[in-house]
Amino acid sequence: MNSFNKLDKHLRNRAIDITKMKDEGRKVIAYTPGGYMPEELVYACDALPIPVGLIRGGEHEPVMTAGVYLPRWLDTFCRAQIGYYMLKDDALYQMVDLLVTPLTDNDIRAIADSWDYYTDIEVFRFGVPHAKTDHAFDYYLEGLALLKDKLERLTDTQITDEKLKDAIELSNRERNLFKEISLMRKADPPLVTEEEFIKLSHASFLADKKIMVEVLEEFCDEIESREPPPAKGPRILLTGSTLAMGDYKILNLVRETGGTIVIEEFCEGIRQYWENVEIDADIMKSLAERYFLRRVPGAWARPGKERLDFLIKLAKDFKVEGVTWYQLMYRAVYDIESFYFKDRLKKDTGISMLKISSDYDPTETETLRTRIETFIETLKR
Amino acid sequence: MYYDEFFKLCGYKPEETEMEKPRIERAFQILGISTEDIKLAEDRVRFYFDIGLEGSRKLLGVWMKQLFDLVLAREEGKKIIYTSFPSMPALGLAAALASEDIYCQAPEVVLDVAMGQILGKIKPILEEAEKQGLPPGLGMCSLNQARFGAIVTGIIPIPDLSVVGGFFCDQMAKTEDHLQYRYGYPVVYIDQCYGDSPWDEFPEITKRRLSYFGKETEIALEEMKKVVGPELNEEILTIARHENAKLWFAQQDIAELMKSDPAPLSNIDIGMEFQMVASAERRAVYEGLPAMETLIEEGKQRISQGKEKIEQGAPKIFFYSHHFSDPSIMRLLEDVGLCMVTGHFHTLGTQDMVKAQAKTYGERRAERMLRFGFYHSGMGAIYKAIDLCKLWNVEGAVLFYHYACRPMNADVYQMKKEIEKQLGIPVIILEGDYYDIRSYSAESFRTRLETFAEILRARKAAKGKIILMRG
Repeated sequence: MNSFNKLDKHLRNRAIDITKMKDEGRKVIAYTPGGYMPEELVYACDALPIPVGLIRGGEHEPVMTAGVYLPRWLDTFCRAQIGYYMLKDDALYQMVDLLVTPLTDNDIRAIADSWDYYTDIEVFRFGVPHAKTDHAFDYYLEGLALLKDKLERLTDTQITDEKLKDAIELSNRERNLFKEISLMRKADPPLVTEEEFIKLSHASFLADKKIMVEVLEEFCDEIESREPPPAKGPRILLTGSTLAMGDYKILNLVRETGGTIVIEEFCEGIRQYWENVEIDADIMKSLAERYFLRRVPGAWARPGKERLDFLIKLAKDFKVEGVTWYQLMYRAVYDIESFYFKDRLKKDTGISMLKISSDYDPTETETLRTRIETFIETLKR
Repeated sequence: MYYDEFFKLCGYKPEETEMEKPRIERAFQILGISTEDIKLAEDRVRFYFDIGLEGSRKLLGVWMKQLFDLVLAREEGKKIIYTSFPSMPALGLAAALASEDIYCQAPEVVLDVAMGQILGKIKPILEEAEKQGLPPGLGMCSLNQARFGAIVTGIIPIPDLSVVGGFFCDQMAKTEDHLQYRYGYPVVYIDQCYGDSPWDEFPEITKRRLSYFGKETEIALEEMKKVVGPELNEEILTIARHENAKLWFAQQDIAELMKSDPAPLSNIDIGMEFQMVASAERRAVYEGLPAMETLIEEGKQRISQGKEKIEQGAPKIFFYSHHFSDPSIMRLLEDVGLCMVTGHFHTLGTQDMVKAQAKTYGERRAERMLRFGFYHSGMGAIYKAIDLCKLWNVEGAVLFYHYACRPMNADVYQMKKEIEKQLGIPVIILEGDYYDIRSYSAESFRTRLETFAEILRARKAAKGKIILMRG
């Protein structure tokens, strides 16, 4: 497909392009990909900063490397991030001028603390409250204001309302396209495969947003004119803590054992596209409303009912036949939630759930295969 | 009765045991405590605790009474509020002191100390939690498992309200979410965004953090008032604050005794009082404080008589925290000849002594918690550790950390590096579990701790020689 060729070409040259932009004085703003950092603010700094999500995962070596800096009892993805930095084999991780970390829980905090302590990169944290009260909203909004101020000082650029509106419109366009593509997967068989959707989602954390929008538009056009993929096995909702770029073991195993993932819901790694920023008189407030109030929070929210309600809704809307809960080791809040969600899911929908965990360890693959294969076989009956 | 001797060891007078008989027997029935268990507990208490001291015996007794209070709270017609650990001590204490009809405590602490340290029977509770939602092998906090396991097995009652500290730990709040799903009781979470500060900000506390944390505390207080009633008023909040301070200062006095050489007390007994202060309720004030005062007097007597509990010349160390459910690690520490004089949670640092500046009740409570360092950020915890090491002039630090505690484990490596860098003293990290000995063995640390102690002694000896040479 042309759209993917274009995207591949763009991403192949991305590190080189960013190096050139950095040489021209542009700043690279990295952030943890949990969907609480409004990229619009970064883009509104006269496009000087380039948002790069710390999005890589799935490999064992960074996790092993991280053992020098963090105890193993933290989320695998979060540990891996300091590993990627220390291994120095990903140019993007080395180009970061500022790491923005919206703090959702202690695992994510470990990324901020380890980067702060072991690297020379400046870290900016801002807290994400765990409930959606009025004062929590104010707290998040204040955090955004501090971030805005930080970005302005770093880039020596004022974020004006006009620039912010332009960035919001671009981001809304991207989200609309993701939503449109996602909804195409409601069809039976789905018009878009999980590989296509997840590849697009991951790419969106690294690509230039204007190019990404073009790619998504082109992809939508191509879908309309192509033959739908052949029907496959049971429709699966894939959910969990983080689905990072490169962490494709679970996707491969589900596909190889005959399942079809039709929808994903992850706290980190999959772009949050269901809600747009509705521009109001106070644009910062509009951002906070979208990024804090109207987005579905992760498992660390208290109480955590909103996410579980959303999962049930997705399961029904996308007519799934099974849920695969894929999470990384030691992300305790997800572990706890998975236990009672399984029960609720069964009661509310009659759908079964399989929970699996990964430590990005290649030796776990075949054990997981047996479990997933059995689950898919059960669903087929 | 089969338990007479045990309660004698726990400081009960015979008439008190007789009077308490119905409560003891009913609680033992609910808890599944058998004659055999009590015999084992007697041996355990004799082995670990310094029962020659009246203060220690009384502390054991207070914990046993706290266990009965917890288990029987519903049957005895109390309204029940569960806080969680770590909690805001003065807040829960205010509810507990407001009325005799209120039971307010973090049940997991009572279970860990009484069922764990004293009776050695925490394991079945943890195993039940593992079966029903907090499985093994995933780094689940065994403190949460104790709370969860006891509720799902029905050995402790369902509360009327749960006030959960989500200002530090993610797991406890999520565990409560699970319990709420199962039992539907009301829960209020005290939130803050832990670590939401630049790395080197502590001891500064930003207004926005204080304001948010304070507001959350006020909301919790309002919810507690709905259960407690008008008795939970300004007056009782002030009384609770003062009583809480008395407990902390008594604890500090006990810790001060450990500066003597030889040190007069064991940290196994000190641990028991620390846990009482850290999660104070009604009995801590009315019976725990007098027990602590007795312990202080006995410690002073030992010092004046030159009696030692820990051998003379034992290097003084910073130790992260006492174990909650099994004292074997504390015993090992003393066996290898180390003397814990300070720890993160039971001794006060420079910032703890700063008078709170905030205006509202909630913000004042929040400020106290944030000044504690550990509840501020990873760097706050490191700052506090270094501060305590300096204040207590320690010769080494043993960072025995609770592996399943994400807030604690995320910065323990940095803490080691910073203590070494800033103070030039040896530091060793030990990975264990504060609330469950099934996942590690204190004995497995013996060789490492013996070597570490040897290093500290050698450094001390070398330092002594240098001083002599200079002299």
